[in-house]
Amino acid sequence: MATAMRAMSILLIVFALANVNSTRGETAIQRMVLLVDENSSLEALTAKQLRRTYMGVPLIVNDLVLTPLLYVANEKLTAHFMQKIMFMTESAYERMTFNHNFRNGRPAPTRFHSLSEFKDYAKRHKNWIIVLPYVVAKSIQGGKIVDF
Amino acid sequence: MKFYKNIFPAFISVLCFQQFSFAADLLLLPSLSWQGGKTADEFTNESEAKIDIFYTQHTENWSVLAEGLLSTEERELERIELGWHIDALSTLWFGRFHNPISFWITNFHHGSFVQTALSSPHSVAWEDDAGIFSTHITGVHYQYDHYAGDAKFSLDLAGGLGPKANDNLLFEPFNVLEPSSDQGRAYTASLNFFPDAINENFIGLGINRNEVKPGVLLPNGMTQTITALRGQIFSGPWRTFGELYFIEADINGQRDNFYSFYVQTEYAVEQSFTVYGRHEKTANYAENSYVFLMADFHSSTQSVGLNMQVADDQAVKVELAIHHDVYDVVNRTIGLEWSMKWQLP
Repeated sequence: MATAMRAMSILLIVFALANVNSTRGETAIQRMVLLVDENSSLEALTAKQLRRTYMGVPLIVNDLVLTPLLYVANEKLTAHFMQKIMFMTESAYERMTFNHNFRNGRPAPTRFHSLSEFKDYAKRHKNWIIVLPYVVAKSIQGGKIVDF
Repeated sequence: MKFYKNIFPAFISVLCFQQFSFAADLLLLPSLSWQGGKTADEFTNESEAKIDIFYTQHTENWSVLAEGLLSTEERELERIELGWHIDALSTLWFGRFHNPISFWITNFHHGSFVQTALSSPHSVAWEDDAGIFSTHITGVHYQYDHYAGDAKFSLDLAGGLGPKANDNLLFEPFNVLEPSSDQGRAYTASLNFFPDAINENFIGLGINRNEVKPGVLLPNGMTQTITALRGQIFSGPWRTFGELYFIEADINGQRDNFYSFYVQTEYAVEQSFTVYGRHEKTANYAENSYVFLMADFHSSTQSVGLNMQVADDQAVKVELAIHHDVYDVVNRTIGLEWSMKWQLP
């Protein structure tokens, strides 16, 4: 009986720890922030402006065009971005950017599947914007967090 | 020949150069279709396999865009363009492109998967498929977007080489791979107004002028002036769009004025299942109109169909239609099509 109780306790602890990790993961994903090139004079952006930028409307700040980028390191993060910021499914967004490209040769936002890939891009380019989880954005050198 | 020898290789060089500096988009849009038809005295049966190959490549200031069509009926380099992005709002394209007078053509191009309907309206049929005007121009195309609050105005100005009349077709566009010097000139101006730039509701108008050099079917050539009105509205699961063309043709000093339109309504039953209906008509043409020179020209068509998306990148379509040709012969058709979008990594 004592062994069974001990085993049950261990199971409960493991289950609780698994839940804690999952909650932390959710929180990290839910706190999305806008990171921009640190040289940009962009100070704030409304959620509507951000959405329009990712739908192909040029975002021009002090005569400079800012390039929207997409961080798609995992499915959950991408789904969260589409749901909370774009108000559409990922497949609907892909269909839209595919049509822009097919019709006018207008490119879809560049996608980054890993942080190192994005960091490498950010070092070599200017005037970009990207939506990232807060914990990830904090770790990027050469970027500044902007309210939206 | 100069074009073939000098400019075309330049396009290819740009493609090759960019291949090493920027990622490309290469899309394949294959489709298989079958259509059965019945008139009073005969049955027809046609099938076609085709693949539309679409390629784009971008740098900060330049884009390259190419579209080729391979099918059991034809092989053609449909579009090849080099675009200079003057700023974030305007682009100057050089090359062969689709005539911006037509909303249908500049939206769906040759990709079956991209359009909801199985067939295209006769008003905007390709030149080599009994089209009433030239759908390709080779020259210069200026695109400009102006944003005002949420709204957007889109301007297109285009000019260059248009069609010629050859032995079999009324209009034949400039062929980039086999250039000839007897093409007429074509000019188009088009303006669309979008009340909200991020959705696709719009109204627009345009004007196009084509000078068709003489050929067997048009011994003295022809001048065409086409005025177009167009619009599209989305409302919940509904989408309705259409185009109206007024065509003024001058053939040997004789005027041939007529109109042609289509209206298509779609209803998305769910995200992956859409039903649609389309009405199209061409009327008021003269007794000796050039439309009589086109073997496959239909003066009116009513069609209904359905489009079922499978796994986001494939579609199956079924379409039923009743066509009336210029002699009022009725042809009833049923069409089936499978199409897909395949983006190469």
